[in-house]
Amino acid sequence: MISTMAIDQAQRRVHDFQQRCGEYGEAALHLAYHAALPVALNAELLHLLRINFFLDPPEILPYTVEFEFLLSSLCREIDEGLYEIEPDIRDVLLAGLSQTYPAQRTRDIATLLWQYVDHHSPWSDRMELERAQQLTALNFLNPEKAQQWLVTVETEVSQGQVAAREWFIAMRQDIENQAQHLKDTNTKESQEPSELPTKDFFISYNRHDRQWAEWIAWTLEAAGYSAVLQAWNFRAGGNFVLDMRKAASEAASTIAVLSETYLNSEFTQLEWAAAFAQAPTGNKRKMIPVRVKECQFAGLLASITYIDLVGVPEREARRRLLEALKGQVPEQQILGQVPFPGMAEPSMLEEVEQTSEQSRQLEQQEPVASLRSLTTSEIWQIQGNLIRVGRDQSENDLALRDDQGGISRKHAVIFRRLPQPDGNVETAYFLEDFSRFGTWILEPGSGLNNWRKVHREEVPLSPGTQLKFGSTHHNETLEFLVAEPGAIREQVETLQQFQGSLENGREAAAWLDESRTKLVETVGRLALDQFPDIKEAASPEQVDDYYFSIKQFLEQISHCLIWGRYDILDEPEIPLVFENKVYETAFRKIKKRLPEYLNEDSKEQLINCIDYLVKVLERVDKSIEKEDQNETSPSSEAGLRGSQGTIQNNPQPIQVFISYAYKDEVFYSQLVKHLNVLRRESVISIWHDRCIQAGDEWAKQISTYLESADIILLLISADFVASSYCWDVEVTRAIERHDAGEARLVPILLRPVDLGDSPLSRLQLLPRDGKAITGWGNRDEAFLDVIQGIRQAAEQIMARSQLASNQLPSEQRRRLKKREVELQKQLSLLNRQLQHLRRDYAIETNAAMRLQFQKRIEVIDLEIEQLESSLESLE
Amino acid sequence: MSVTPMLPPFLWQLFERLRRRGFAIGPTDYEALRQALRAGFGWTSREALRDLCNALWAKSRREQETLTALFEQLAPDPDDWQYSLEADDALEGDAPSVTPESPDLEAKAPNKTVPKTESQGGLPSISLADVKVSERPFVFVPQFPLTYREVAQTWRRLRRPVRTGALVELDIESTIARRSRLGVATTVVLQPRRRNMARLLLLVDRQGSMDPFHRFCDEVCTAIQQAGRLEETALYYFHNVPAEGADDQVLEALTGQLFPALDPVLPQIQPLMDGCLYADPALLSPVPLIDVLQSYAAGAAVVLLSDAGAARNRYRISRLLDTIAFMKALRTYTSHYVWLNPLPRRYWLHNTAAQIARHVPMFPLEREGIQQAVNVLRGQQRIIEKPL
Repeated sequence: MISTMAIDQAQRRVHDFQQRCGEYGEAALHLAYHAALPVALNAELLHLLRINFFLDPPEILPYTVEFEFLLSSLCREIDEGLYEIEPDIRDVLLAGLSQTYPAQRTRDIATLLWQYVDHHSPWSDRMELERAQQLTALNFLNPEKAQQWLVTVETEVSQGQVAAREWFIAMRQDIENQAQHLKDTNTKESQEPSELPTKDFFISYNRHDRQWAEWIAWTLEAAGYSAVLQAWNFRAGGNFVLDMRKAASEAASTIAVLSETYLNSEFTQLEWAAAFAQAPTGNKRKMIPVRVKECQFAGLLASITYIDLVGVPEREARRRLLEALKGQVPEQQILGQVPFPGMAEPSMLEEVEQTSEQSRQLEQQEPVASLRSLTTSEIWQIQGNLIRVGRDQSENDLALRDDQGGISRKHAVIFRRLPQPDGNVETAYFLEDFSRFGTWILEPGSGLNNWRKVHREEVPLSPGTQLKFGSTHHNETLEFLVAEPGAIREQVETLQQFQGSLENGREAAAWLDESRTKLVETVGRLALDQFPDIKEAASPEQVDDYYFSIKQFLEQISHCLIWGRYDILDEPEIPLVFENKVYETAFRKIKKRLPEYLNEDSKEQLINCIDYLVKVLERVDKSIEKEDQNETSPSSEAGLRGSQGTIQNNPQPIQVFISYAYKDEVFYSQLVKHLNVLRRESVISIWHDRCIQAGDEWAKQISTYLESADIILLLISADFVASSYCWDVEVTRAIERHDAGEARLVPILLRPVDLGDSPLSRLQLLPRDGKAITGWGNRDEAFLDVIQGIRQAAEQIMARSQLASNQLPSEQRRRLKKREVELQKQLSLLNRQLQHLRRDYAIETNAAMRLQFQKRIEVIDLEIEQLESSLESLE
Repeated sequence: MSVTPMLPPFLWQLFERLRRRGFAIGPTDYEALRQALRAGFGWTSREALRDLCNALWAKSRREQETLTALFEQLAPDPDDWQYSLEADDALEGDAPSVTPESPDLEAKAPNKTVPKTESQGGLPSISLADVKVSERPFVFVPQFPLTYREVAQTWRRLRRPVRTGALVELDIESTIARRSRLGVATTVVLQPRRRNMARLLLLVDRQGSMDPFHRFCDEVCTAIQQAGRLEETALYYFHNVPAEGADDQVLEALTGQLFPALDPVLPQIQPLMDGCLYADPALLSPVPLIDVLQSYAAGAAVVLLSDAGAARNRYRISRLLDTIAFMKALRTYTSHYVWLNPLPRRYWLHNTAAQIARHVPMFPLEREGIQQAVNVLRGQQRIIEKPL
């Protein structure tokens, strides 16, 4: 009658409720079983169920579970304060009740329901509901009587009562339904032999030994036994100890996975206690210890014989285990689904001959799977072939942030199945979702937004799949990655290559360090010999400097080689004494002197380093030359120059201050448009303006911007002149600053006005010739003129400020300095010659000789003059 | 009787269960029972022991009811009453524990009166005659997180003692002062008696998500009304929010947020007094909110009892806005107000309750919660995240 679909859905809702109740989910579910018995429920009845059945150990529920249940999706409010559990769900819950509790509990609840309706009925004004509850109670206590009552009463009631008839139909269905349930329960109860254990083995372990326990469980199940694994089969949140005891008592034997941590665990001690309570002597083999890690036995355990799996290969371990358990279990071909933790290698690899130690290590590498957050780049490795994902830290390996929507407490697991021996199935990972809202997955190569929803199913996961746990697309995206052993090997190889090349580089560096002094001398000398002119002109100090600089360069190269990075050379910061070409030659000579014992890679690295350095030097040189040509324009090599650390590109942004009258706003906005060009070219940086309205009183103080501006633009018109404030205060102050040389005052004539003998009249007005902007045929042309004037002023200021603050590029300064020194030398030389000549001239009597002397004096004079002028220009 | 008799083991179980149900009994009470038994009381029959327990441990009729039910559940069968005690004595307390899940009374035939319902018109009655019912006694006394006594005790701390009324109490200080000042024996100075002038307005959310808490809230309100000994306790009901229809234009500034907080627009929210309270719990007889506030709220302590949207775990900005607007209106009458939430604090996260708790002192309806609530009503400062 009821489709499996509906039952499935009902079960899902019941499960959801249990999940939502968190730590007391199991007990809450049991309360739901109880609450399913009445046809309808109110808060009070639920409360009574709780306080009568769930207030004392073993199952204790807090008050809040009542509202959680009533407001959950299990119940729906059918009237004020009256709730109903949907039929499908009720069936599921009642089935749960009869499975979980003895029949006596059902009678208890029915009696409670009866007594509640009888003595405390809140439905005394609703006969039908009251009778329905009573009939339900009776039905659970004595189904025959309920049927009987229904039949007799149905015939008695008059046919006209439609409502009543409907009630009967509903009740009949309900009663029959429940009777069926009850029958099921009773038969089940009669079948249930109380002593027979349901499982062969209960495996007790400490969570640190999970891998071992899993392997043992798989091995046993593959051999045809059934096993309860503590971590697998217990729903977290239930009464852990109770569950454990129950499982331990239900299983025929308890396998204890022994290790140091196990023996210290509190829970496992309880398990021991339970096992020993049933078979203290060990003759029924109730307790089978399996030793997986080295540990000491004391007390109770000392007398027990155990199966020792420490340091045993997988096959032997399986044989020992199975033999010890039954003695004669035939060894089967077992599909190892859980890897044997002792060796962490699939059994097929056992026979493969291991050639070298290194390759063996590589083969042993399990594929490393991980989840990586695409938002935070955090990585979670999937350890032990299983990762549990969910909302709660305590129950999951990966706890997702709880500000994300629709993530269940236990949302999903990703686990790994090992390859089948026949090689059909490759090592693969699977995602199993058991969440409420499902998981979105995006397969690699399936398109950008082709997200697929996985809900309560198991799907294979390929590497690169993106996952979103939870209901919404806004949740964090995680990428599933698998690094196969092959890939790892490649990585390792690359790393080793890198390591090797680094070693080679170090060798080269060592050679360089060793022979540095010798190299510098020979190479430096040879290079200098190739440029005799430079050699001639150079002073001994310069040559010393030159050797020192080469030495420094070599140091940097060896640095590069040690660290494996060229970028160290990007900023040499070593002053060049001579021209670039000398250095270049010197370095080229080093290349030819590489020793034999260095291997090819070392040599190559060293040569690369030198080539790189040469390139860097060329670049620096070029940029300096460029700078020499054009001082002000921003250089494309600004970055490089900046990296030399001493150059400032545009030391002070040129600030512009504009003062204008309110009436001239149109002109102002046009001017601003044109000024934007200058700003874009970084000629000027910012401007401030001051709009003056007629009769302004508000600011009888000089704008601070006026005080700091480099260029002050006054937009002159009759209105401007008429404004007393502008005239008196600002213009006066502007002229003061202009006269002091602190700022450039640029008056711009907008409209023709007579400036009379005001101080402005002596300044040069823009546009040129003092022709007002309104007087120009094309106003844009007029503004162009103005802008050009401002540009000039700005450039002058810039040049001056650079000179003033002596902020020339260091390289340039150095060269100029050098040149200055040279010129000075020449000058003094010429002066000395001049003195000699003058003296000779004075004592010479021969006219022809005198004439000759005079000519030479004139030439030297001219030379001195030239020198002096060039010196001046230098300064 | 110099030998100390062993107590029947189920009594300790009973004692533990009673404590779990909020009975105010301690070791001395258990000792009292032991002494009574030593003195020879309660040995004659099962009922005698039950009555003794009731006399010593139950402090109200409801507690008596609970105790009786639990006693019936735990105590051994009346038939082998004498035997069981002897056996207990012999075993020196090592008797097998009796668990409620498997009462061995089950097999007994019903010896009580046969439950039966009278016919009330439409449908005939159903009788349980000859039907095997469970013999387990049930407790029909509700067990709430707060007992009547706890509420009453806490709420008595809400006191504003003022001397009013007739001059009946002797003022010793003034009398001495007056006599020493005048130097002659004058009549004594009298002063009015102190009276608790604290007034309380209880506003209780009803229906909807509050349905599971109705009885609990009723219990708490009754306890406050009956045992609080306040000058005046007014009780009114509302549904979800006391006032509705706040101007939601202020919310326009908050567009684009999924769960907007009201902080940026908090000053713009206008006090809101439109709305109805109800004088009865069924929400049938409306009373204008403004009338209630005017008559009861001025200078009084105000307690709101509502889940604030936490039960359904929803976030509704309109509810939050209405609530805040109402609280602003309330502030014009009194500065002593608290919010009691029947849900524990962990349920407030991510819903309207969490937001309201940022603006209004909100406490869970638990022992510590009502203690703190009363402290706030008494004028203690409470730091909340974003006061109105």
